[in-house]
Amino acid sequence: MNGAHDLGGMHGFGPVPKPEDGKPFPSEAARRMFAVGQATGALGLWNIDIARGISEDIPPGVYLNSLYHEVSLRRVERLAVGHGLISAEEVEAGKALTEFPAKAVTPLRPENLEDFYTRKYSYERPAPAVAKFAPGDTVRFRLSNPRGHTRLPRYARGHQGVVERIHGSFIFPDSRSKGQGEDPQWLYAVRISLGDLTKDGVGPKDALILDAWEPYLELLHGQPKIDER
Amino acid sequence: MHDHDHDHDHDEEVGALDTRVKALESILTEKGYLDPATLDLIVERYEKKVGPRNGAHVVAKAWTDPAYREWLLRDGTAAIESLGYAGRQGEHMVVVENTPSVHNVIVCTLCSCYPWPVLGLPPTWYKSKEYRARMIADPRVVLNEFGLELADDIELRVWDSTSEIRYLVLPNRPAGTEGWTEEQLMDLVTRNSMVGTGVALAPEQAGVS
Repeated sequence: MNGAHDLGGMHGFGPVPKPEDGKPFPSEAARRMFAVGQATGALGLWNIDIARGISEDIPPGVYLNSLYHEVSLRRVERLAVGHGLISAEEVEAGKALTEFPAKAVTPLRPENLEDFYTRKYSYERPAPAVAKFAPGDTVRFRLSNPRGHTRLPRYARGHQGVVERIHGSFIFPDSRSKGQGEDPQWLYAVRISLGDLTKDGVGPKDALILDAWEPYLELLHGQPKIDER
Repeated sequence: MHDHDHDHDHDEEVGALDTRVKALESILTEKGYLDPATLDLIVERYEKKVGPRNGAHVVAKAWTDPAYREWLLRDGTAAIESLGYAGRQGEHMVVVENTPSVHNVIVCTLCSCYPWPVLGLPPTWYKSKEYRARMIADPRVVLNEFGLELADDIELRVWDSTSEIRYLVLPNRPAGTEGWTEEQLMDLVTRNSMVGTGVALAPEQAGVS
């Protein structure tokens, strides 16, 4: 969706805050929220594409005025209510209103933690068809404006690029976030000339490379087609 | 508006946010969905056990072992896993090498994707809206804010982590380190050099003669 999370290239921001500070959390609440997000994700009720889509689906003004962990908080609240773990009334009240769990799930236990973080997992899936593009191909990013979750940033849409690499065939977030299954698509690293995206703080040879699933791309022929989706 | 009023409102908002976080954790715990012991361990894992020292090991090995370097650039996931670093947010690793004429830097404009098994959790600056926006809007100015100046004839490559591929920068090996051991070289490899907002330390900067 064309949300405020899609920040690449946006103007008006000031200096990067505290570049000298490597700490991941600016506060105890941010630390706790990270752990809560991880542990609720571990319940297996939703996947990362659904979760990202929910994070993004908030009014732009709210997103832009939120600290990072507030975005996480809103996401987990909404997912927890949406999946029947807690009720909206409980979120509003700030406390449990019924004693018993609403849903039978197994919480992540300390003895399972290492396995949760290190077990072999892959997002790669068998390819649906032969890859359409090859390294060196000139492609155009589609002019598409999906209402749902996508990983095609606005700054790239309509722009010309060159395929750098084929990564393989991977779960397609645009489909999986909508509950439409994994719908694996070929995934490419595509290089755009950074000077096409900005005139500030950029050198003449600079490049921007982003990963794009095949449905985001078309082989370059003349004018870009407006995507009706 | 008075600065004092603005700060007061801001503190109230942050206070209200913290209360909501605590409340959510408490409700989910009371209902048996979260184990408090696990929550502590999750944070501890990434604050104490998994961090940039892992990535420094990968880099130092690539600097000293040409066969490992070739493997790392060809199949980052396997080469990194062979050193014992693997798992969430690192399932698909691609390593991109700096050269005398190319400098790489990683960003996730859409959220905060970052290679946890080799670098731990991302710094707050990496997750900031400023970094996410300006790595596309004025990348070299951002690098200047990190103390990094690139010559005009250097090609800067900004990698936007839009998929589950996680990128790691292989920084240039500093001059004056001939004959150094892997252990010694690891001390020169900073987190920022593996994200691309910095370069590896020179021997004198690490306080090593």
